[in-house]
Amino acid sequence: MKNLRLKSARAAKDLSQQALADLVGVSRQTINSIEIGNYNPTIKLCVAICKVLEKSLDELFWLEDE
Amino acid sequence: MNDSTFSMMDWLPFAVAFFLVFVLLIILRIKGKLMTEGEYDERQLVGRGKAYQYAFFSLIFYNVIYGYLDAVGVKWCLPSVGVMVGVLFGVTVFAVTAICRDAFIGIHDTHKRSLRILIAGALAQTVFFFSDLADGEVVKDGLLTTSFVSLCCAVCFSVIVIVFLIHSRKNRLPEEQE
Repeated sequence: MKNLRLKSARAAKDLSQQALADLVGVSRQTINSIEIGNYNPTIKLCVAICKVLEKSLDELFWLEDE
Repeated sequence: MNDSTFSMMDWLPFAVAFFLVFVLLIILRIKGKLMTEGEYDERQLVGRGKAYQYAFFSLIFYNVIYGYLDAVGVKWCLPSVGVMVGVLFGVTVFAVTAICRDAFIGIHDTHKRSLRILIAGALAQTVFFFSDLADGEVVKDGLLTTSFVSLCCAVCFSVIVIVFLIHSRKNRLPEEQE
């Protein structure tokens, strides 16, 4: 499942995938994989991303019932 | 002892090479210049784990086939060559799987550096092989000798380089196209 909330939060901060990846210490492909739903990050990485994007875990990673 | 049976001289170059590489890795590790697990992110570590798994089972598969052929009397190479071909097969499976999962090089390493090493390795092994081929040392008594390992190395590195280039090209696409 695509994580569009992460993508929009990143765009709102005017960060590229590479910039966000550098800030949280992962590769660009990892950020891309999270956004397109190919990889489920650990809670550690989720928290790191949330801190950089100044969002809560719920806002970025909580799965809503479809 | 003939060439088709175990010979210490067949193993000696590999043993010396492994020992030197082992010592080099220890020195690099001590000096902190060796790529450590910490330079791969969590997704890459998962990918490398899968790559090790596939390489492990590929090596088992190869050993079963090699052992079976040997048991039924199909001899095609010296025992040392059979072992090295299996190792190279496993290494290739590992590398290709790791590349496909973006887990071959660390997050701070550059593609160009890794490519240069691989291309240099492929070219050097190709030269070694053709040098031995010209000397007629590749096949003795109907069995492939250790010179054949050079060809296997060249093929192994070439496959890795090709997969690496294709994957790098894909990764150069703009973010939105992935």
